[in-house]
Amino acid sequence: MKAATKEWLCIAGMLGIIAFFYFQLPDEAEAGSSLFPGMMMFLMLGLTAVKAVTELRFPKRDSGKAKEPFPLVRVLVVVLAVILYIAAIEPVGFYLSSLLFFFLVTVAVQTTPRTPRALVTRAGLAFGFVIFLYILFTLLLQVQIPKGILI
Amino acid sequence: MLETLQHMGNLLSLGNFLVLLLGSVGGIFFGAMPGLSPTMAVALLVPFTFYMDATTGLILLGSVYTSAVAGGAITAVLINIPGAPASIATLLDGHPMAKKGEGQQALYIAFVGSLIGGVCGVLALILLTPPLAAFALSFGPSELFWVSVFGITVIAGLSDGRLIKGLFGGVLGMLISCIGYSPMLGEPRFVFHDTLISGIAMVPALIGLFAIPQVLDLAAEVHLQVTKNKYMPKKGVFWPTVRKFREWWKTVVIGNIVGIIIGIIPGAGGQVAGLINYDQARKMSKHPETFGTGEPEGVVASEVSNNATVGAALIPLLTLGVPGSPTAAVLLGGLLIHGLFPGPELFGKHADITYTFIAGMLVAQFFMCGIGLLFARYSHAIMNIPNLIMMASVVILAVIGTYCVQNNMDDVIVMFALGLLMYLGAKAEFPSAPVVLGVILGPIAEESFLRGKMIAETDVGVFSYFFTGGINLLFIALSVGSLAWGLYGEHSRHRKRQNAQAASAAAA
Amino acid sequence: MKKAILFCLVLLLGSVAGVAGAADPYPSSPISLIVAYTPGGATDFQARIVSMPAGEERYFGQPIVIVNKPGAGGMTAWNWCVEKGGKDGYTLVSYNMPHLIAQSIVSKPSFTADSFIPVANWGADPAVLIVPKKSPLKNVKEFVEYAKANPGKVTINGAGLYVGHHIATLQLEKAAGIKLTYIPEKGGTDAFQAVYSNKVMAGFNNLADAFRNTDNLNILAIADTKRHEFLPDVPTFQELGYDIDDASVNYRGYCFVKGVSQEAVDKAIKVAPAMFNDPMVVKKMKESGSPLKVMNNVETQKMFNSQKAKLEVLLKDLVKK
Repeated sequence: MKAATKEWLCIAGMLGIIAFFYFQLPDEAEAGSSLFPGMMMFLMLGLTAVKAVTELRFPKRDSGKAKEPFPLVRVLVVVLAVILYIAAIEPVGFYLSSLLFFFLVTVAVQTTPRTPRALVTRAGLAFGFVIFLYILFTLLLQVQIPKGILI
Repeated sequence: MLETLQHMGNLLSLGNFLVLLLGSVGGIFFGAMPGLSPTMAVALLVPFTFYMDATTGLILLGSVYTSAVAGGAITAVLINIPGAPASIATLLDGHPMAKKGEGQQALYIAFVGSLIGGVCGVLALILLTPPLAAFALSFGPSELFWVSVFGITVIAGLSDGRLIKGLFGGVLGMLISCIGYSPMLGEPRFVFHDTLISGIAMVPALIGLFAIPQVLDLAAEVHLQVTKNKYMPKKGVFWPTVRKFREWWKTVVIGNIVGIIIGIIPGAGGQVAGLINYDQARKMSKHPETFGTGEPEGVVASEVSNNATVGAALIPLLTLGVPGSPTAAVLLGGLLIHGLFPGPELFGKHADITYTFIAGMLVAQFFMCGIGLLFARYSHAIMNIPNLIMMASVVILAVIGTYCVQNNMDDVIVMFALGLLMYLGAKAEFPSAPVVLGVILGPIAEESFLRGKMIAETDVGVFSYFFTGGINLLFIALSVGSLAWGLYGEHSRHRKRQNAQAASAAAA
Repeated sequence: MKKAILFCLVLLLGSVAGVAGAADPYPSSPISLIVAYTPGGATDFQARIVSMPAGEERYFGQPIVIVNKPGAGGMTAWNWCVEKGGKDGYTLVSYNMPHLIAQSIVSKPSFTADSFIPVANWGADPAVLIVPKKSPLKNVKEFVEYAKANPGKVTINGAGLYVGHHIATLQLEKAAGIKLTYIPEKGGTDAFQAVYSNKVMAGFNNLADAFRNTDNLNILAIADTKRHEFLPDVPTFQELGYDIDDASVNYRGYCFVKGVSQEAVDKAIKVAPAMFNDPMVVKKMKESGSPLKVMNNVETQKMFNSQKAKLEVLLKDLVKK
């Protein structure tokens, strides 16, 4: 998309953010609590206005560089995987979910051939990493990690 | 000074020495892990010091503190994620250097700079405590407020041609920091989802805003890592790099001053000092455009001042019990557990412990530097890790690091959500650093503003309270100057761009 | 291939052991103690001291790990405990009175004093009125006179909103018929700093912290029913003619959220008071200047009830609609 269009989308986004927070302001504003956020929103509004004005007067030009196609699918897969991972931590347990995440995500997204040998090495790496974390956090630092049904 | 030297001998006892060594190694490691900040590292270790005697325990905490602050540079340089909030400015030039194959040099610079800053910070503790402690006390709500405003205007210098977006990000960061219970009145604000009830802590924000976009970038670039072992260690680079420090003496000196002053100011710590010094080094440089593309001086600026804050933060801590940085606050707990109360007693009745501790801090700087330099030689191994593996590991580390802060899964969810939003923002060319700075400074600014207002209303009136007084005026002037410089820089860059476009249009 | 199988076996064995462990008596794994304030503060380090011997068999047999959840004077942590905290008995909560009660009366958080089952009390830290060393107000009488002459202009701080220090301030205002301006600070140490650098005119703060800092400030009076052994020369407000009782005394101790298993509650009630009286704990509390006052669960429940009654009366004007 053209650079100028992108900039206007940004401005729309900025306004959207301000509006979003504005509608979250408590109704009966305790003098203290909404003063500061209010000031911030006011500043943000001002900045958005300045941006709109500068964009009108000096619209951004396209850089003319050829853009590589963006690997949307791959990025979405990773995002989805992280969401599932985070959701799985408490029920399944941190170490197990980390293990599964590491292995599954890297295998799913890799662009090099998925030979059995490569997969086994990857599994070994995953185990090794998780064991390292276990030693560091649970044994050494004694931090309470979500245990879940297994580990 | 004398007392410190006299007590250096104590460091040679087996326990103390071991702890110094382990603390330095462990500290660098903690600082390097994205997710574990110096504050958390010290907090996690305080319980272990129960079982040690006071001196040994303190030396451990102190060496971990200083090494963690330095260690953050490792991930900042190598994988573009600050391992410690103090290293945010380091990645601005550190990572570009690493990508160019100069990672080893960047780390050398970072650690030598940290050594210089750290030593100066501790020297300030040893030699200048009385005047600096008095100075620390003079920072009341209005002064703190202007310091945080100054911190935000520094963003103008960081945004590199995107001034408006940078400022917007900074202010948004401050707005985001209001989510949760309001600090003074305890009212819930902006809690549009349950997970937000405990607010947005600094470490989850830091990790989310830097690590997640980086992870998604790595995911997008998986296919780009074609050559194996692209990065090789270089021989004979150390001394030439060190010699360059002579060129950078101005940045070093100012970095120490900035670091020491910010270190003493209660509440603000390494995070802010690194950024402020980076910004001013750039302003004072003859070639500001090189900053952000791999200019070594940027790394020097950041690392010298963030380590100088360590020694300085101890000054108000040891004399008045007022911590100069969030990590020093945790150290306070460590002191109190051993029955060591800040104040003249520390230097009188407990002089042995205190001076050995200070001597330990001084020596720790050298250990930290040595270990760091050793590591730097092999840092290429990390650069060679396939993007794929790096991406998955960082996600896991980010999750566990965030969780450890408040033992709260909500933080992890917030971290990721923030990260996703920042990724979109980065695609729209919004820089991350200002947002993080906003999140860090927001609470300080809001509290000091409200508190100052309450006091002022009983006394001289709000306007007069905030706009009179030496320190107030100093920071107001600095803020205005910083903003003006940023605007000017933006304007001249804009002019140049216009001229270049006109020239190319004419030539076409 | 063999390595992978070996790893799998190890993991399986480990998880079986974990599941088997769940059948052991309480406690079979470390217990978290939620501290509602920042690390390094008075509540935090006292909690650490009193929890140190927990690992010994005669006490809990498992270590107690401190988890800090600071924010909003304690509300963040206590809200979390009631809404999301585990009820499996592995989440102990450290309470602060009067903060918990005052906050539940004035604000509308998810908890009240009845949401918690007291286990044992470890400390009682009365509030003291402090002024900077160089202050012209040398005693309570002068303080009150000055305040009467300048209503609303005297700034007095404390470690937060509706914490013990704030309650003491409200009581002083009521007892002496004066109007002060209370400035909530982020914590005890911040409050001190503001007092000795003269940013505020006076403060209420913890006795424990104040008596260690007499070089920088003067302690004018103590808000309790009798004088304290650490400060034998400091009069109580009652002696000076102002009716201020011990509603503002900062009690700290362990409690559980209601709904926790009876096995956990019984064990904790039995073991905690003994642990608080452990000689090592007593020694360290004394060294750090923290007043120790051990009460068992019955005494603590009585304290909860009496403080609640007093505070409801005192704060009824301030209840938010």
